[in-house]
Amino acid sequence: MSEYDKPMPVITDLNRPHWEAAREHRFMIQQCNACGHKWFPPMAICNVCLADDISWVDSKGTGKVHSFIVYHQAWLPGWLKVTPYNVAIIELDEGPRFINNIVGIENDDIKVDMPVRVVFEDVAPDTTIPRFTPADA
Amino acid sequence: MALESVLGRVNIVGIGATRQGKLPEYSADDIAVLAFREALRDSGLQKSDIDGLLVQRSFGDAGDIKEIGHRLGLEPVVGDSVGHHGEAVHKAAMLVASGMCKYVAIVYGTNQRTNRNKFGRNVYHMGGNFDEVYGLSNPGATAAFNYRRRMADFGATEEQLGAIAVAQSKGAALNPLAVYREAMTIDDYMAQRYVIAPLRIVDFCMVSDGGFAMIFTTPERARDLPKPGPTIVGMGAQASFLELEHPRAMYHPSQLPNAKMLWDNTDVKHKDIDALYVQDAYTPNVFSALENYGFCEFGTAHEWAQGGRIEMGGELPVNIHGGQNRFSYMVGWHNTHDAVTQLRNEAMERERQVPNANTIMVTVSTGHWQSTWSMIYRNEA
Repeated sequence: MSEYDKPMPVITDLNRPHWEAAREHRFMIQQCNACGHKWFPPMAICNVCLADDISWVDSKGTGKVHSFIVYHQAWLPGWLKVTPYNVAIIELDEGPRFINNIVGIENDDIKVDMPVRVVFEDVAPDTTIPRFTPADA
Repeated sequence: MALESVLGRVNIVGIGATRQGKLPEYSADDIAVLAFREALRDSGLQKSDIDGLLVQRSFGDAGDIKEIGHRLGLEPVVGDSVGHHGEAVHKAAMLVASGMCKYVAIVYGTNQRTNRNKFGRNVYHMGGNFDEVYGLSNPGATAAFNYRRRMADFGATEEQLGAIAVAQSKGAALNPLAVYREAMTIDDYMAQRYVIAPLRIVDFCMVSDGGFAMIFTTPERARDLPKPGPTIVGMGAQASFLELEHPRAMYHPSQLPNAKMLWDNTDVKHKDIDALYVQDAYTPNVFSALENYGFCEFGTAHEWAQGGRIEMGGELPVNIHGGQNRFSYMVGWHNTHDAVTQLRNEAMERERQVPNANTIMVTVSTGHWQSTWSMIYRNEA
């Protein structure tokens, strides 16, 4: 297997719980302890009620494809040689929408609102990247 | 009614444009100065009359108000940097209507083509490093997500999207300022390569050099000038900073409340609009604007815009200057410039002039989940 050469996660104090959970094949999102709002990717302060009392919680890792696009041109290192590649907006059952990829399916077969579930790609000994695959795959 | 203190009380009395495309002989700030010079000449004013100056910052730290103010040799009452054409028009109108300034010039110049602005490399502001990890780049990604969702929600097709690029190419073919002037057919459109599917290369704005400027004053002072109109008779604004979490995230959410402010505070009706200019960094933006501003029902613009309806001679000519994919990447400045040109009956090429143009709407935006501004310009008796 060739070395993974796409952009790697840059670990910060803010996002560390997410990436450490990914290594254990768990998908974690944030939740506001004051108002219950859930979101991802991470922010230090809730943008609904502005509380900074935040917890990381496990997501079930299931949701659907809100929309998706297919790059035939690439601007980021490592992505050019895998064009055409997809980027999708995932909507988790818990609510948050965020950017990810759909794997285990041809780009032409992806559908908007298709149910998906998280899978984990161990790209380096200490790095795991969560991606999504059709729920029935 | 709100906005009574502004609407009907501000005219555009001067417009200026430089050549568009590639201007390697000038810096961005020099281009801004040249655009100002053309607008000043067009207005018949003296440089010393200008007591308000608003300059839009541009690529590569250009467009700093102190730098431009110095190159123009001005000592205005107000000299400020602004972030966008819409902000510039709205603030100019408020400065004039309030009486704080008599003659306000707004200016933009860029040489981002010569200086190779590779903004396709930009990671869009959704998740920072998360975007890079998952391969998201190019601000056009949001428009591609938008159109894919429209295809699923309403059965829109890629061929229907092509109506916008085709219409704009026909407009650009007649616009002597346009950078790309070859008219396209729908077959030409479908043969273009994908960049971010479902969008093709001609659905994306270009990167170009150029500058525009406009001058504003009251209708009373405008009567003493050679080209006194048009008048600003409609304004709407809305910022929407929620991104993917917005319930209408895919459909330019700031435009709906913007439209409400616009139409609630003007006597203009949709049927009065002789032409519409939409900031079209990516062609699907035109469909969103047609729906959100109420020209057609939500979920129908991709059908409504077919059959030449948005072309010159159609029911509602849209972006007949060619838009940012054919005319020039002028982030909204080209819209007001062409609107005023049309309202003055100055689009000399006979086919390019909207007949009896009296009322024109412009809408501009900093981005899919940012700020939008709308304006209606009308020739008043």
